Amino acid sequence: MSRRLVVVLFLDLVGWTRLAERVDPEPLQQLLEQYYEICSSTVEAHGGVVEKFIGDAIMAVFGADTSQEDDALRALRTAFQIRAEVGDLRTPGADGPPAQIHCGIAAGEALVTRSARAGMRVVGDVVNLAARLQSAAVAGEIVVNRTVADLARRHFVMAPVPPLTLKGKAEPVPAFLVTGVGTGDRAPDGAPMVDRGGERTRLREAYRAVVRDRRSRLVAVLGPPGIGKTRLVAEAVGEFAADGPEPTAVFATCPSYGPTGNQAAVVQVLDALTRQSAPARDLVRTNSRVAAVVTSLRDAALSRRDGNVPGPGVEEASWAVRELLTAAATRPLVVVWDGLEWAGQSLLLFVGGLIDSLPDLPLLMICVARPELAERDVPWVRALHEHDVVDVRPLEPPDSAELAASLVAAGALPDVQAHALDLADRVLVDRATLYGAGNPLFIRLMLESATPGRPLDDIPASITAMVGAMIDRLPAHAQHLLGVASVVGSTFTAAQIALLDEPAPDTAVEFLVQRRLLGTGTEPGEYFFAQQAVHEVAYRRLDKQRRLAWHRRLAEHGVSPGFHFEAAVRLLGELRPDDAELGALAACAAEALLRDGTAALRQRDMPAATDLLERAFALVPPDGSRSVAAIRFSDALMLSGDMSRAVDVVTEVVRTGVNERDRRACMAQQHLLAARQGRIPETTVADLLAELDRDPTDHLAWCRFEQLRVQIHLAHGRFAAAERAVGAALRHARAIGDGYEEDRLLVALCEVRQWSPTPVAEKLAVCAELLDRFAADRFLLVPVLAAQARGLALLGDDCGARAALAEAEAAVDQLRLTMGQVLTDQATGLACSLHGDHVEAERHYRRAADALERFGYVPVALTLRVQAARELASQGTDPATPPVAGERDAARQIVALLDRRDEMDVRGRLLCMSAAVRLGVGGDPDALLGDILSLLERTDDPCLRGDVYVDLAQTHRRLGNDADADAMAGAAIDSYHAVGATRAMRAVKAWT
Amino acid sequence: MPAWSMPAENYRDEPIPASVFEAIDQDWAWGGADGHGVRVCVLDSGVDGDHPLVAPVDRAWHVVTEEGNRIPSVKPCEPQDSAGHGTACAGIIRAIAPRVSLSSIKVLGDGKAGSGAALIAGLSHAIEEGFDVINMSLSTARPEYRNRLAELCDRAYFRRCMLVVAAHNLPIESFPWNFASVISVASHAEPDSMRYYYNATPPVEFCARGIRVPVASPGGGMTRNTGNSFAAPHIAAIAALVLSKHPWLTPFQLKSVLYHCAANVATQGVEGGILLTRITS
Repeated sequence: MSRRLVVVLFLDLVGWTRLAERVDPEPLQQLLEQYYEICSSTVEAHGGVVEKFIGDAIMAVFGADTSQEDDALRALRTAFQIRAEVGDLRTPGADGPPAQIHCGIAAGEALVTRSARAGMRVVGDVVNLAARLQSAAVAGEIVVNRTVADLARRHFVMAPVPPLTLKGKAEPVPAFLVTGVGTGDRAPDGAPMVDRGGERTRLREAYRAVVRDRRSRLVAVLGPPGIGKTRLVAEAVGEFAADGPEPTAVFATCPSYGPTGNQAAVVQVLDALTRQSAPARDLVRTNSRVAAVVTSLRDAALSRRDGNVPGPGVEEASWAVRELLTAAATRPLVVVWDGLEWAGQSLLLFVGGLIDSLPDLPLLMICVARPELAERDVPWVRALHEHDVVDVRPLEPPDSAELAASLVAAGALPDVQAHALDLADRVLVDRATLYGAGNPLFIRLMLESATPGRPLDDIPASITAMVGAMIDRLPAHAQHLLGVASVVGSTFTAAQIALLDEPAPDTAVEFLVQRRLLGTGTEPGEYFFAQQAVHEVAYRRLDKQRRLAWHRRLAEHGVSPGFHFEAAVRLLGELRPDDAELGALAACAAEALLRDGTAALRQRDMPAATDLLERAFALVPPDGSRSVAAIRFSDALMLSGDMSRAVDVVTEVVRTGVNERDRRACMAQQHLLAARQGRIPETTVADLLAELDRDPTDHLAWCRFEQLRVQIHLAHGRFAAAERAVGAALRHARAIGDGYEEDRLLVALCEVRQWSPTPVAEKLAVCAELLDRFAADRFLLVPVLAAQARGLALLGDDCGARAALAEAEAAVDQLRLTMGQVLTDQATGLACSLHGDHVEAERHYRRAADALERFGYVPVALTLRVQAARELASQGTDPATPPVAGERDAARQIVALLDRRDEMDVRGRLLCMSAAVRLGVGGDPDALLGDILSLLERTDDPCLRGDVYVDLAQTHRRLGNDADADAMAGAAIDSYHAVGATRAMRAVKAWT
Repeated sequence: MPAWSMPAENYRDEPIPASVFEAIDQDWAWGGADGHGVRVCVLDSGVDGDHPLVAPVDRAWHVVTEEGNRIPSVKPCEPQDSAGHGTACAGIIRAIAPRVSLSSIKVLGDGKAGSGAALIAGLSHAIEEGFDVINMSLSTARPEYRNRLAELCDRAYFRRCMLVVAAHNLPIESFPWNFASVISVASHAEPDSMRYYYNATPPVEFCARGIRVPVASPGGGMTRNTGNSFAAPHIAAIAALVLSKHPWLTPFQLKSVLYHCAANVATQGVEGGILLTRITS
């Protein structure tokens, strides 16, 4: 049982029913006999099978057993021949008109089964379609579907007819009337010859050697169908004249089937020789024996000879061809035998005999064939040496793209063209490049079949037919292995294949590698499909039942469970939509995809994460737990910058969720997203809290809710509370073993703690712990290192701080982390400032501010600008720099920043105002002081408070209020002390 | 992505040594410039002179092929553009260099396609008119026009007329963007109109914004469009800015200035420099 591309032909006699009314059964029976005879012998001659006769109707199938790439052509030739031969029959009666047929042909996928009782059966829509097309054809017409038209376009003339509205079909079906036989020649299609320089050079060198040494030589050009062998040889032979004398070049092509293939190719050579070479022509004229052999061979090739009279013997034929070649050898000779994979044993022996018996002729024989030729048991083939073989390999991707692009452009390229991107063209080129896998014919077929409205990843029938035929010609064990491997994926290992318990001998793998259908990976036992089309066609040929079983088995053994469970769910849904297991299988798929998606999220591979999590979310059964998938998907969307979809996903669960917990968790996420956008719904927080209180074990919802609290506290400068909320969220994440949330929260903890009143020593302990945890992921490591450097700098450990910063800088530089750069600049600014290097500190703060501004984070950028200006002001106290200029600049900047204080966060506002007071700028100092004190009430960042108190102390000292100055200095010392910022504390003490 | 463009992802920067003149940076090149005094011609499908994002259009011509006369002639016309392509390009130039004098020569038909003869006539006319910068967001793949176009591009180069030409969007050979006498431009995906990169591996020399670019749309509004067509006008406009500040620059010097100011070229010390090329990994 297999799914395959088949071509189904329906035909019957026109007006049969009326004839049966009119005429006696006896003469009718006689007509039918003749008609059956014509039909069955013609179908058989073209390689088809008559599936059944019903009265005067006949159904025949091509490609049921073994596909041939030209099945559609064979069916059409069959129809033409039957139409002609039946036309010679007369219907019974006095002046009975000639009999006529009408015919429908459709190509498509069908399931071919075989049983002892029913024989072969072809099941599929394609059968009904062929029958309908036949009904639509009037007397003498042959009507085909689009796939047949695609497959036969180069060989038959076709005209579209109005689409057929068929019973049971929603959409009208496009149909084509076959009006005649086309030229079918391989005229150049205008496509450029891409690459192939190496192969051409080798052929030219062979020709040069033949001419120089006057010794005959045979070269084989081998490559898979469509790879461009014929074109390559034609181009190369065309270039031979450039290197010396122009050759007499003759071409012969073996027909792919038919009774007279061997003779046909020989006759093509003979005809071409007598046409092109005057000495050869003279020989036929003057030597009657040669002439007789030529005539006799030609008759045999055209089936004109009576089978009872033997033609010339093999020796005689060889002799005549030798004579002709020798006569023609006044000029160098090139004989090209194309399609030798179709040649019978006798033709191969004939070719070998010729080259052996004519060693001293300037004769280059080029044998063009598929790689299978190498397996033929013929002496000269076995003796082929590496340097006699030109291997035609797939094009490299850039060459494929160039070919595809020039084919696309050739379609309707105007003289001059504007360069606005036609996206459809670009997609077409990319797709043809990918699926064509370096095969020029596939690339062309891909583009030919491209019509608007076709699904993009659909492989055209013409390629399916070619690849299917190629697979059918493989030995059974290799075919089976391709099928098994195709389910695993485009890359697979021997161990994965073994999981399926299917026969997969090593010899089959080796054979496929040899045929270059499979490539080998870097590790032993790793393989990949060399061509995407082979992978897809091999997969599509498996019946769905088997695909389902194998996907499932792979998933259950832990091989990409997300992908394989998902495929199994899809197949089961198609085969048995009501299957009770479907729900459980979908849940497995969702869980596996969620796992993969979360891993991608943790690796910050957003495109992959979004894709996987969307699929996971879609597969969670409506009554299952949807909130985890929804929230992760929402996170992925938010991090990819698609905030509105991020909100939509959770809103949908809130609106439609049947599960209370799902709704709560998603509601928390909704608010969290709103908070991130600066819309902080303090009032709704209370409502949410009331709901959550009902279920203290709903850890996911609580975890997100605490994160919401963090956002709100941060916005208000309440750092201790924010830190507590992070801790609470962390505990909930740990309660459900959620490593993804845990990582995120630990990083958040580091960041929040920069400003919280937790003692520095404690912060550093946590940093050390996290450095271990994130050792493998430097993206997460950077904020921890920055926090560590900050802590160490506050303690006065400059050496340690520098080391941490160096490590962070290296990661930032190597991984190109833009925001990481901001973090390290910020920490470096602080470290330099504490160390008294205000020039460096100013530079780092300024650089961080520039970066943040570029990314649109205005409030934080402004804070950093304030810090940079403060450092500039401090440079005035440094004896190494000219004092006045720096301070004046700083004052100007602070005044400008003061105007924008409403855009700043609490921290920026405080630092800006206190700097203004200290520098004695910015208007009424008392008003500023009032604002500063009320803001100080609201924030609990001890270092920030300390810094502000220091400013105020300096201000009082400048104004001569020594008592106030001392009080403020004391407050600063207390603040620094509370958090253990010893370095800053010492500085204040020294100042007082 | 259009062909020849910078990959949007999976690239790594590879530093290669380069030497740059420290004195020449973006501030020197176009700081404070607005394009005043520079004449830019858009050789395209015409330019809509009424479009608020484009107006005013200084002069406009179209190429006319009269019955019985094989050689097309260039005649003045109203500034109009039914295809919208030229207007989109002109709008990009106007946005970057607001005070340039913009002119149009319509060589494309009402679709986005035209004849080789019209292109040659239009380009020849633009060079005779002595424009400082000519933007060509188009090309031909017909080899029969190659020689004539090459001659014209060389003539422009020697007459101090900078041709800025978009690379083809598909990986095929076409002209004149791959001539050495012009500036060839492909796309990068970053939403920054003033950011462009020097490409050290020819034939494309610069990559400018070309993906989802906001452009003037027919009828007065704005839309987004993608293609090397829209990358070229960014470089044309930046070139116009530079020329408005340093009108004495020859095409050779102008190209060098653009190289110095590219986002991936940085000075290191007084003599040393560094050029980062983006390489797909």
